[in-house]
This record gives sequence, C-alpha cells and structure tokens, in this order.
Amino acid sequence: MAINPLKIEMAPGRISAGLPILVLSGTVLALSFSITMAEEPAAQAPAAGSPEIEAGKKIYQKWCINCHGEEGDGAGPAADFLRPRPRDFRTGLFKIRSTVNGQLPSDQDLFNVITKGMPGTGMPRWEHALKEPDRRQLVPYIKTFSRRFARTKDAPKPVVIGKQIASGADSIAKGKQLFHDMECFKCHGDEGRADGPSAPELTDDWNYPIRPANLTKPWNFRGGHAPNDLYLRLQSGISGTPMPSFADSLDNDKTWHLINYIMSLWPDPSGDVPSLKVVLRARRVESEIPAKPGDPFWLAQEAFDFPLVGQVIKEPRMFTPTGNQIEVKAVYNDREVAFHLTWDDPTNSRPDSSKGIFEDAVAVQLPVQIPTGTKRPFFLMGDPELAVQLLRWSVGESADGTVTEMNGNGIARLVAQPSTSQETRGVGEFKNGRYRVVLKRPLRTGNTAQDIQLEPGKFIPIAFFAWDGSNGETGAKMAISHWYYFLMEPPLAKTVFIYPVIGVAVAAGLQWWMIRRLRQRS
Amino acid sequence: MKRRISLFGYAVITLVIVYTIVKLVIPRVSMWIVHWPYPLGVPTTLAVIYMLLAMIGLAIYITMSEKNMEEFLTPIRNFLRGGQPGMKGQARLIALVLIPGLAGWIAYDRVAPKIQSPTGIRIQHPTIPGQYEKLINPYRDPKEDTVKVFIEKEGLGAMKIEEARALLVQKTMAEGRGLYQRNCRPCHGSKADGNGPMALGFRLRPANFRDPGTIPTVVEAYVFWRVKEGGRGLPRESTSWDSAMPRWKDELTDDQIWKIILAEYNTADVEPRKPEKLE
Ligand code: HEC
Repeated sequence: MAINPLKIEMAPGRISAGLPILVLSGTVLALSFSITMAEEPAAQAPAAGSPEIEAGKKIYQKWCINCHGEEGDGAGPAADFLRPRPRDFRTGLFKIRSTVNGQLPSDQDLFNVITKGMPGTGMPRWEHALKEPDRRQLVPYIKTFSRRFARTKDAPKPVVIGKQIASGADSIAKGKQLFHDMECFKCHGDEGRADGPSAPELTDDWNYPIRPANLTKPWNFRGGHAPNDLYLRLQSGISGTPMPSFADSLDNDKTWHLINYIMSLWPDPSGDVPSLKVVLRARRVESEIPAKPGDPFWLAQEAFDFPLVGQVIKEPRMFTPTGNQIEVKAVYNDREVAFHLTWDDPTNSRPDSSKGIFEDAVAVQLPVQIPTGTKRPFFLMGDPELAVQLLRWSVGESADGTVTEMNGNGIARLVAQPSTSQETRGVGEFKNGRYRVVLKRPLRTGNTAQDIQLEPGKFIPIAFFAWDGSNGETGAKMAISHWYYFLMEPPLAKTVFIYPVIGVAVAAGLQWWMIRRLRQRS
Repeated sequence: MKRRISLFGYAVITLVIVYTIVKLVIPRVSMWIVHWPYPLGVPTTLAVIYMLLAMIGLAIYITMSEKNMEEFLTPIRNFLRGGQPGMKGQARLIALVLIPGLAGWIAYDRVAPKIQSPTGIRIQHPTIPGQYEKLINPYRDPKEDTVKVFIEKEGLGAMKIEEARALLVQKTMAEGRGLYQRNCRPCHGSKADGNGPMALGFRLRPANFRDPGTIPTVVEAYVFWRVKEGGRGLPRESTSWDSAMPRWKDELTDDQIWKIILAEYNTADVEPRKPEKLE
C-alpha cells in the first residue's frame, strides 16, 4: 500500500486514523511528518484581546504602522514612498512562503521575513532592532488582520524540496530551454534583466504596477538567493504578484535545472552584492580606444561597480529609481580618456510627453578644478562656490544617442556648455534590458574655465547619475552616486625597475664576497 | 656547556617574538583598553623603533664576550662557506638565491606607486551656532499653558493636567514618528540605525542614531540645528560637500522638526543629553 505523506497532511483530522496505517507501512519519513503535524497547532489565529495578541499589537504599533498602517492595510504614512508597496495584511496573501501554492504562510515564514527583511524593498531586517521573542510575538498579531487565518483550520502544507542537482553545462542548458519553454522570458527578459515584453504592463493583486525580478541581481531577491529559496519561489509562486507557481509543470529535476540556469546569470556564484571599490582606475593604453561599447577591447578591461540610490536630498525627490548600480570601465591614451558605462534599465525610453515618458540618460560628474586639498564641490551637482562638469549621454534622436557637456553649481543650476565647447563624443546601445555607453573626451581642452583638465596620477572625484525616463525620472528625479575617485594610472617610472635591480646586485655581490673570503681563510 | 639552540637561533627567535608583539599583541591589547571595535595598528615609525631597540639589545649581548660572538657567527660562517651534504646543501643554494631576491622585492615595494585614495579627518560634531544653542524642545515636557490649550482644543474637560500632558506627548510622538518614517527613513532607516534603503549609496553614511556617538551625545538643540540646516550648514572641517543630509528648513516647519526629534530619539531607544544649567 503506497501512502503519500503529503496527502495525509492535508487533513489533520484524519491523522489519528492515519497514524496506525503509517506505522504499519513503516514509512519513517511519513511518520516524522505526521508527528510534527500533530504537535503543531493549526494555523488559526488566537482570539483577539488575548494577552498574546495584545503584546504583539504593542510592538506592531511602535514599529510597523508607519508603513503597514494601523489597520494592516499597507497604507501607512510612508507607504506612498515605497515600491513595492508595504504588504496589505488583510488579504492574507504573503509573497515569501515555504508552503504549497495557494496556501497560507507558516508562522516560521512570517517570522523569517520579519527577521531577515526583504532585500531590495523598504522592509528592513529586524534581526538586530527587535529581540527574538518580540519578533515571534508579532506573528500572531499580523495574522489577526486576515480572516483567512482564522478560517483555515489546517496547518499549511510545506513544499518538499527534492534532491538538489549539481550545476553543470548540461543542467544549465536544460534550464535555459525550460526558461524559454515556460515563457519566463516574457517577464524576466531574454537575459534575465526584467525587460520581457510583458514586464511594463504587470500589476499586482492590488492593481499597482509591479516589476519582475532582475534575475542577474540576486542580492535583491525578496526571499533570499540560496538555492532552496529559489526552489520555494518556483514551486509555490509569489502570492499577490503575477509570478505563478510552477508546481504542476516543473518536477524536482526540472526545477533544479531552471535554478542552475538562473544562477548561471549571476555576476558571481555567491549571489552577494558586488564588493564596493572606491577608486576607479584607468589603465594607459598606447592604441586608439574603440568607440563602440560592444567592441571586444572592453571585455578585457577591469570593471568597477558603484551603487546608485534615489535622489532624496532635494525636491523633487525620487524614492523609487530604476538604477541601483552602474558598472564603469575606464582607459586613457596620450590624447583622450574613455568611460565605458553599463547599467540595467528594462525599457529603451524615448521622450513622449503624451505618456509622461522622458528620455533615458546617464552622466559622469567631475569637478571643474581638480581639488588640491580635501575640499571639493558638493557631490550632488556642485555648489555655488565650486562647479562640476557633467558628461551626459541621453537616448536622443540619433542611433548612437546625444552627448552634452554641462556645468553645475547646484542641482537647480545646471547649464549646457556652448556648442563650440562640446568635445565629448559618445556611442550608446540598448539590448536586452541593458545600456552600454562609451564616452570619450580629450584629456585637455581649450575651455579651461568650464572643462576639467585631466592629469594622470591625480585622485579626481567622480560620481555617476542615471535616469529611467519610463519611471518618471527627469531633472532632479534620478538615481545618484556619491563621490568616488578616478585615477589615471601613471606609466611606471624607470626608477621603479632600477632600484630593485640595484638591490639584487648589491645583495648578491655582498654574499659572493663573503663566501670567497671565508673560503680563502679556511 | 652546549646549548641546544645556538645563539644565532636565539637571536632570530627573539626578533620574531618582538615582531609578533608589535604586530599582533599590542594592537589587540590597545583595542581592549580603549574599547575600540578594531585592532589599533602600531604606527610604522614606532614599530621600526621597537624592532631597532630589540636588535641593539641583541647586538650588545652578542658582542659582550668573545665566546658569544664566536657562537653567534659560527652558523653564519658555516652556511656561507658551504659544503653541506645533500638536502642541506640544496637548501643553502635556495637561500643564497632568495636573499638577493628579497632585497630586490623590498626595493620594489618601496618605490612602486601605491593606490591609496586620499583620506581626511572629519569633525562629526562641530560647535553649534550661537542662535541655536539655547533652544529647547517644546514637545518633550510641554508647559502647563500648552497642556491647557490642548485640553481645551480636544474637549478633554476635567482631565488632570498630568494625564493630559502624557496624552499630548503621546500624540506628538505619533505625529513625529509618521514624519520621521516619511522623511528620514530612506537614509536613517526604519529603526534609526542608519541603514535605510538609500544609505548604501552614500560614502559618508547617514548617522546611526542608536550609536552612542551620535544624537545621544548632543542636546536636542544641536539636533534641531543639524536637521534644519542639513549638511550644507556644516563648517569646512565637517566636509559639508560630502553630506547627503538634506537642509530641512526648505520643507519642514520648526514645529515638525521638534516633533521629529522627539520621535527620532524614541525610535532609536536613546535619550538626548541634558542641557547644562545656565547660571
Ligand atoms: C538623503 C539622506 C538623508 C535623509 C533623507 C536624512 N538624513 Fe540625516 N544624515 C544623512 C547623512 C549622510 C548624515 C551624516 C552626515 C552629516 O552629519 O551631515 C546625516 C546626519 C544626521 C544627523 C547628525 C547626527 C550626528 O550625530 O552628527 C541628524 C541629527 C540627522 N541626520 C537627522 C535627520 C532627520 C531628523 C531626518 C529627517 C527629517 C534626516 N536626517 C534625513 C543623510 C540623510
């Protein structure tokens, strides 16, 4: 007699009847399931007004209401500044679950989300700010907002994670095929950058626009990026969002193939956020620098990643920018410097005032004067005293895009340079949810009042900005970085090699002389 | 009497021990003494002096007697002279190549350009401008008149002053918390721990209000100044050009700022410093 332990778990009422049968069949696994089942109370909420609920309520009112609202409706005073919006607890729909499709989350699921937060969203990690008992106390209270919990007598059924299949070329290829067959690309895009054809129209169950995950940035996955986390998301779906459960179409093997494919899209197998570097180094090359961003030359250059965040310092603010990171490569030769910029943006936006769409753009910011001390212009587009220069590329009219040199003495005081002083050239391209742009500028120019005169060996402040026109980003509404340093590595001086050679010669000579003397003496 | 380890061996061991103390032990001990989260490295010049002292001490001991000198030099002479059989002979050859190599490497390390971005010092808490110095938060301990107005406005009638005062503080606190979450949370975080969603973008990190070195060490008037004038109000020695802290006087009223400050301390679970009594 074959007994499926999962089937039995569905109905706790049948457990006492099922137990002897299970024991008879000797399925140890099934037994352990039924025992945990029997011990765990049903997923129903304790009665309102009980001390347990009141304790949770107190914590909730102190820490949670400003986003999730007093009524748990996800409409607290800060809610409008968040995307995705805070969860509306009244529906009982929870994104991050370890339970099968359509079921409520387990208490542990809710506890885990409170503890670890949801990366890439406004939901912080409460692990350090709230003690564990307090975090546990919140769970029953949160459950009171939805009647689904009270109505459901059965404990939710967990997804069973099957044997993991190790990654390899074969598994990844199968996963890639599945990615296509299951039409994952329709939302997540051909290369996983959230740029699929359906992506712009997606809405959640509350009719708010929602974006598919950018699969190449696992550090922002809401429910974590461990292989098991991905398994649960694929098998149980993400409730309240268009991300469905694939439990019916993906068996264990296929699920793992798909996970292995997704993980192959990551910049680093750990899936952790790229480590932050402070200095953007430009190597000196003797050749001509290729103007096309797709040129293989650029693949060989060292990449530096810089985080971007919303401009929330001055009105109008941008709380939910598209850009969260920009990759920069830089080289120079005897005449010019070139920046190769790469960033993700799901749409190639051209201005369309009827739809409220602005043009996509990117900018490199440098001070007009290389600072001699610590003092430099304000990092957000300069200040009245010290000006910055922007090398700005935008989608523009032509195929390669438009480049404008600008000067800033503050975010509201940004002026394009006269056409006679526009010396920066740029070529950009958009493909599969990603922009790549090369900007080239002479090291020295005639306009010393407005243009920075670049010098190798100097640490020059540098910052980056990006605008996603489909996300309402224009002017001060944008993604920004802080100041970093740009360093054009000076060619190595000859003395760098002469001194070590002298050092070796002197040491070897001394050794030889001592050996000779000792041998002569004996 | 013959020692198991030669004097040369002792000299080497002594130097290794001194080096370990300078590089590992002192940094850890000083970290423990001054309550610092990271080991405090010994400055290079000081480390060189310690090592030199150790070497001078050894040199004095070795040159004190003819016998010591002889014992010290013998292994060196034997090594240089050569003629050791088998493995030992090979090890000698390798050492003879490595020593000049090391000399070359040290020379290279000295002259090769190093990438080390400029660092500067930043004064986190410069002096508060005079006009802000004496301000106090009207909402922390509302005056009797304010409470009376509140009773009137809310129609609380016979409620005791103390009770009404607590209610008023509670109400302002709730307002302040809302304002804090809207305006300050993106950088300073829901928990006031300096870890808001935008925080990682700023190399001069938004202040962590739970850290005893930030708002708990200053009076509320100081915080009021900082919130009102923002990063731009900072003097040069506080690197105003790097501060993302907005100038809130453009967007918030004084009243709102005081309410936020009340909530900011509460959210961070810390207390402001008490103003000194004025004579
Ligand atoms: C754009 C990000 C940002 C926002 C929004 C922001 N701050 Fe700040 N804040 C900072 C940064 C960065 C610092 C550290 C640099 C400095 O001291 O200026 C800081 C410092 C401070 C300090 C100084 C703490 C100390 O001990 O030196 C106070 C007080 C403060 N913020 C309060 C607030 C309040 C209140 C709000 C909301 C009304 C707010 N901040 C909003 C970025 C921000």
